Amino acid sequence: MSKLKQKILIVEDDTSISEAYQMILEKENYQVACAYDGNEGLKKLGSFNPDLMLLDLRMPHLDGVGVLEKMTPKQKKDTSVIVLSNYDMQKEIDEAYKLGATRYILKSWASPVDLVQLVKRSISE
Amino acid sequence: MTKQPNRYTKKIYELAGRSLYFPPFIVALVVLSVTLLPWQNARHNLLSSQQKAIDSKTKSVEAVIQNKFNDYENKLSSGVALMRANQDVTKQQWQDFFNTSATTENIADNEIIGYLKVFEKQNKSEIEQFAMSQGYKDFYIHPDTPGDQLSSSVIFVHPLSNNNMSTVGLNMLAQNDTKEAAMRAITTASPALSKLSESDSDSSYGDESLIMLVPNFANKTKNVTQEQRRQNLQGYVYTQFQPSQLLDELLQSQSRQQHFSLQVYSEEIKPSNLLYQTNNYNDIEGDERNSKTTRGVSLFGATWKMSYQFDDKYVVSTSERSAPTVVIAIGMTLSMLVFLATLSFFKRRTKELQEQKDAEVDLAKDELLSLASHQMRTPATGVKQYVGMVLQGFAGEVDPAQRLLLEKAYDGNERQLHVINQILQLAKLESGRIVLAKHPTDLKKLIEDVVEEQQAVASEVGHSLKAVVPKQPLMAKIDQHMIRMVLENIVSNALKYTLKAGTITVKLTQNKQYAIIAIADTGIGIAENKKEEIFKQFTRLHTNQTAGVSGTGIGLYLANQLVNLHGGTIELTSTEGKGTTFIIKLPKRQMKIKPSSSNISN
Repeated sequence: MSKLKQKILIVEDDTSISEAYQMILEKENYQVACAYDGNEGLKKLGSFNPDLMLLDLRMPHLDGVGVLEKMTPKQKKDTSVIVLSNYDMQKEIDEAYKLGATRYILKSWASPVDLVQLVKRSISE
Repeated sequence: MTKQPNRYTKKIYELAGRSLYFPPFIVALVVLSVTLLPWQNARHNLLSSQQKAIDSKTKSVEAVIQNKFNDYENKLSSGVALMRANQDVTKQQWQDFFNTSATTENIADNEIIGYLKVFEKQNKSEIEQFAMSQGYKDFYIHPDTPGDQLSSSVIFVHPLSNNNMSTVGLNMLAQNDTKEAAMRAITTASPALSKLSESDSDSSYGDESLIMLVPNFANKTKNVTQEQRRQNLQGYVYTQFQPSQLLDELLQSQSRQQHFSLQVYSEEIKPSNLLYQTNNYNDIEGDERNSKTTRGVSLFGATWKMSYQFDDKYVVSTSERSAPTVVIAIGMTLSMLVFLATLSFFKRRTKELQEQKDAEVDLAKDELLSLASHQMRTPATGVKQYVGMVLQGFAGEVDPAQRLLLEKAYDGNERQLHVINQILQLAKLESGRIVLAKHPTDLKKLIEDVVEEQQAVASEVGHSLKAVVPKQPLMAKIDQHMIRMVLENIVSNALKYTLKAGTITVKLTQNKQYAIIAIADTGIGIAENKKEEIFKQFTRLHTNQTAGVSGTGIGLYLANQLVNLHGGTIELTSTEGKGTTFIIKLPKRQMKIKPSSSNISN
């Protein structure tokens, strides 16, 4: 177990959601950064180098699938990706898994407690 | 390929919409009418070809006849030359001349050639004496022509057969047709062929004979005027023949070879004037317009009318004849092919457009579903986070009264989200939008995950929820997203329908073909007669005890459909009051899907 805080990057364009997630995760002692579209997400992926990324699928400029496509293999190895969406479209879900996402969740499913549990499980993989 | 049709093609497709066969029909008609022009041409060419062929055949027939009569003329003229050259020609000389004459080479032996002496009545005895001197027995001039001044008598005839001998002494001028020809010969000072006279109409066809005369004038030079000619007339060299026999010899084989029938008439075409008819007369058939023709032949003052009937089949070659038919046949075949090609093109294109439209509709449906789902979920998600956070103590400690109210809000929101999920899944299912993405998945891990997630809910009510799984992973080719939903649904049901603190177990086992997941609870159980019903849409368990349990009744229906899609089954055993066990069987490997009632694609 590392003494350093584990890092989580939230890539989500809906600020009410990302703020809530940030609050929840910071309380659990994670270091949290936010990005509001795909391009920003990729940038912060490089600079912040998180252990886990919460990635929204539908965003302006570059969507979640686009981010996954542009991630380097090293980044995919270092960062677990949980893909979030409220659209629940089969095609997108398949794409995400194919591109290496660890988990897909429906945003409306995850309560704060669920979110924390999910992060804990996924980050250690 | 998303080629959008332009305005004009849209109009055509509109037409095609009314009847798919209409445009191809029009196109075929156009092609057919285009071939009408070459067809007309071919017909026209055929007609002129036939005309030419008939012309040449009739000309060759006429040539044969003309040649024959020219031969006659030569022969007769040579006879006249003989009479002129010698003062006193004897019977023997006549015979010798015509036996050896070069001009006789082309002429058959039985052709009669004779000399008709013309004289004034008062000189009759002179002629009789001459005849005696020639050795004719029983010579007498007959018939007598009382009125006329002139008389005539055959004094020479070749060959000297018995038949011919009987003509010696015959006064041929007494016969009207001979007389007419004889007079004509003087008038024209050239050979004359007799015409069939009225009086001959009682003799039957085949018996008639004609006579050709060449006049012999005494003085060669002074024969300018009629009077002079009459004065100088000595006699006629003549030949007599039966036209039917002659023409038969000349033309019968030709008519057979050239496939025509012929009737020859003297002067006019009427039955009484028939000179000759080929014996294939009734056999030849032909089309009135093209193969029947009448020609006239002028022979030494007489006119023969030739009536031909050609056999269509032989006038021109079969290939020439069939040319127009071939053209129209090609035209029809072509237009039929064009029809079929155009039809298939339109069918294909219509199908393509339909498929395009269907795809567009599907896309629109997808968009609508996804939009609906998102719009309905977003506000509820926010509530879930923030109310959840308050309940977690993010905004400070929450007293019991506050907690109660907040939890009610939270629960209401949860119910809403749950309903939204179910309705959307159902919509997808019904519209066939669900596509399974099967990958080898570790069911052990999946079950452990689901159980762990539901622990919070379980402990709230006081249930004990555990997973009983083997040590090693158990792989099955499934759509993990869908199967997760199925497990969540059934476990959540188990939790709901167990009222007091109970035990819910999720057990994973396998046999050769299937992975078996048994979800057992100690809940209220399901009555025997309700066991099938609960899998139906919109059915919920309605008992006194379940009054407080929420649900839309879609969950089990959906779960069942999804498991069926994988080629698996859901069964249940239950005892009312004791508990229920749901048994999900999933094939470990790809299996053939049994057709189900819904239209889900895989």
